[in-house]
Amino acid sequence: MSKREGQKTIFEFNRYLNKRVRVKFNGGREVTGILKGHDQVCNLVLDDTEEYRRDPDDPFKLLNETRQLGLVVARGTAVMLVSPVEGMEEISNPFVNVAES
Amino acid sequence: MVLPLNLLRTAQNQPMMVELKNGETYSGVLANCDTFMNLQMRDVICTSRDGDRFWKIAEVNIRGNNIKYLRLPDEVIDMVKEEQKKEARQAAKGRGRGRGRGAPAGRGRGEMKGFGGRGRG
Amino acid sequence: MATSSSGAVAAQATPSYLPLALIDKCIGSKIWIIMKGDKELVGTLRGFDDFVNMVLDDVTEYTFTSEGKQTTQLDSILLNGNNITMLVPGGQPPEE
Repeated sequence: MSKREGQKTIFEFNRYLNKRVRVKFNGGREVTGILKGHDQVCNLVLDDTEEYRRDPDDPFKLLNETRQLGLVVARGTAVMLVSPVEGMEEISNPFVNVAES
Repeated sequence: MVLPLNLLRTAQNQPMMVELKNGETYSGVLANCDTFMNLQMRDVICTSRDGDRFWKIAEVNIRGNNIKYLRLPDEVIDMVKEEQKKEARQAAKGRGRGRGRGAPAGRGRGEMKGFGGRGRG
Repeated sequence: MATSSSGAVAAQATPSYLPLALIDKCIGSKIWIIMKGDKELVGTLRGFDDFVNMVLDDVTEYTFTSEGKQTTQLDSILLNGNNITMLVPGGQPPEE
């Protein structure tokens, strides 16, 4: 395994250990979970994981419903984006305001 | 010649916009990047793919393989050229000193070859 | 980044939470696999490789469509790891 993990990435996932993170996957799935571990190729261990349900007609549209998955391993090859849940909020269009002011 | 990853490296601490393959865009300050084009961004505004929902996110880590394209401030291109000039100057200085001290010919040649490559690149 | 310090942290975090070590512990027991698309599988894990291709026994495959859930029973399969998004040890079947 170490062979394939040779090269370092910039991701400092240690900073997020035991914090809730949002993970978006290739293909449109999206979860939040408490980061318990990771490796060099972005595989993640998440606890208390909740997956956001998706609109059956548009797999990229998330519903506000979630389902519980518990302890999961997320495949690094499918991970697209990782961000801490803390400090994230939905806002109204900020670009309109910039244009007006 | 400006290489994409050099441009990106120079754009660190600059505002930028990234569009992912899934159509979402992320605008924020580039904190860090690597040779996979993995990005770490701060103070980000995420826009959904249909462009009608927005999120403020303190920091995001994006895997480079999901990036469609990046938009950077125009100045960055000048900064890269500036940096390349600086590097070339330093290379020339280093080479001069090396010869002055009478470094072994073999090593000197090796270094020059290296610098030449970078200068053209 | 400081290699030495990150190495120390990695050693601390190692015991139970290396992702692939966790999957290794699942060998012989049920596992629930969530694919990129609308497919999920529950089966007994027999083994896996570096790409996380998997050999599974007694598999139930669930396909979620807008008409509802389809299930397929499979004896023994070799699953390509390419389309796996998540692996859930223990693997309770999806109730939807």
